[in-house]
Amino acid sequence: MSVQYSTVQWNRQKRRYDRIMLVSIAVYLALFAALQLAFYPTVSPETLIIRATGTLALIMLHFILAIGPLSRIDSRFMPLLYNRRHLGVTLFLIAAVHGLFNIIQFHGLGNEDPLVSLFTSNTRYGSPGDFPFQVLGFFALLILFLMAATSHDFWLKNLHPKVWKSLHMLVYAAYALLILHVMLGVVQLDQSPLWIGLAGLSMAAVIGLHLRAGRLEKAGQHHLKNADQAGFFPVCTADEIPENRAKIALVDGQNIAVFRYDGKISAVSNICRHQHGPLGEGQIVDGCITCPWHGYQYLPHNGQSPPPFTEKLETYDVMIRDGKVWVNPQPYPEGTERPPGVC
Amino acid sequence: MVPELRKRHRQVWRLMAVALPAGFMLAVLVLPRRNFPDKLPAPADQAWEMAGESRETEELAVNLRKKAGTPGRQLEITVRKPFKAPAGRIYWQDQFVGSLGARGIHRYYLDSTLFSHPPFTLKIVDPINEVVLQKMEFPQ
Repeated sequence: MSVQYSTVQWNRQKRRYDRIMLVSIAVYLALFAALQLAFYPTVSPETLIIRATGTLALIMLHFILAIGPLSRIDSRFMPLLYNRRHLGVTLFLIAAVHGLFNIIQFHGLGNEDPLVSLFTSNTRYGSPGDFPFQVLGFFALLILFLMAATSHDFWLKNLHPKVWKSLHMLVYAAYALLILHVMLGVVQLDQSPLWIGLAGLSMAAVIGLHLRAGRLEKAGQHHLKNADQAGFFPVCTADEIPENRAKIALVDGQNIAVFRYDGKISAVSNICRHQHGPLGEGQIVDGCITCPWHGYQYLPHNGQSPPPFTEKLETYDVMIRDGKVWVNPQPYPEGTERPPGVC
Repeated sequence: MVPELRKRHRQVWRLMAVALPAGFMLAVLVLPRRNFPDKLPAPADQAWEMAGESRETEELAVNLRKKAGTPGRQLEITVRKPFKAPAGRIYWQDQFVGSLGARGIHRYYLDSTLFSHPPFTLKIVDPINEVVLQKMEFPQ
């Protein structure tokens, strides 16, 4: 959390995470180079760089795409989610090296402009076996560039979280383009069962994780019914909400997180002001609701971020009747203090 | 994440779960279209005797070599200057023989069946752009 923009919001955890990431990348590149030189001793440095960065970028993209569903399936993966942004920007830089070396090596030495050559040297778009697969990689790289360039909170704030999220969902299109880039490119050239098997398995794993996380989320959604005369809906019994955790309730278009803490119950909007993260999947840390995505914090009784932060959430009326928690889905303006229900 | 966005995520992945494996399978299905021999001739280390056929360009020197008691011939390609393309595929009589990747001497064994219908054509093709980088004819 920050009250002003800075180039990179470092903290101890992010520094540690980034160190692990950079060391892992260095180890991978060194191992890949050693294996290539052992099996293909005549390989040129340019080809080695193209192969190393291409495979690394693909592995990193699979890892990045797996973090979201993994953290929804098992909260122990949440720390990876906090730090996914740096991984994404690093992925773009590695993919850019791959793309740049490819354009120089395959298109940079002819009479045509390299970018024109990229699109015109092979125009067999109707033939799957001879498809100009480099074009697919180019568009995937363009999407990764857009995402890396707008990854900063400045853009999140100025584009609006909804637009920003939609823009960043283009990563799925980039993934599809890259799978086809590999399958219509290196697999067609090498015809190696190893590449085909690895590509198929990793693709199946990513798709499977996303489908499973989606099913779990849908099953976990709690739609409220049967309001009383005052407009309150029954949510659950107070005992069903673990201490410092929440129950998420959907009613009348409102997405509400009902938190239990210190023998009290409060309800706030479930949508974090930062990136629309699910606050109800987070927990109360040091008396503050803490977003599971990036750690933005709010006080449960008034939805306000603790000073000097200025983010605020809508709040809702809560009452406890016969051990049961009831919530009124009529929202109060952001940051309005509401008395908590007492268990 | 707001419920609408989560719903969109689910819809996208349902679509991907169908479209991606379909694209994957299509790419695998077009693989056998290419006519590769079951087993490529192993690159040879030792040079055989000259068979009298040589061609030279700025980038390449090509020799055909023979060995007593061996029906086929040895194709020797010396890459003098790097190609503009990083890799080249070698075709003899439109039969894939091997790949050229770096500067130096490369030798390949050519079976006697590849010498039944002269003249013989050697092509080196850029596999990415499908461009013929070099074409040479050998009368016999």
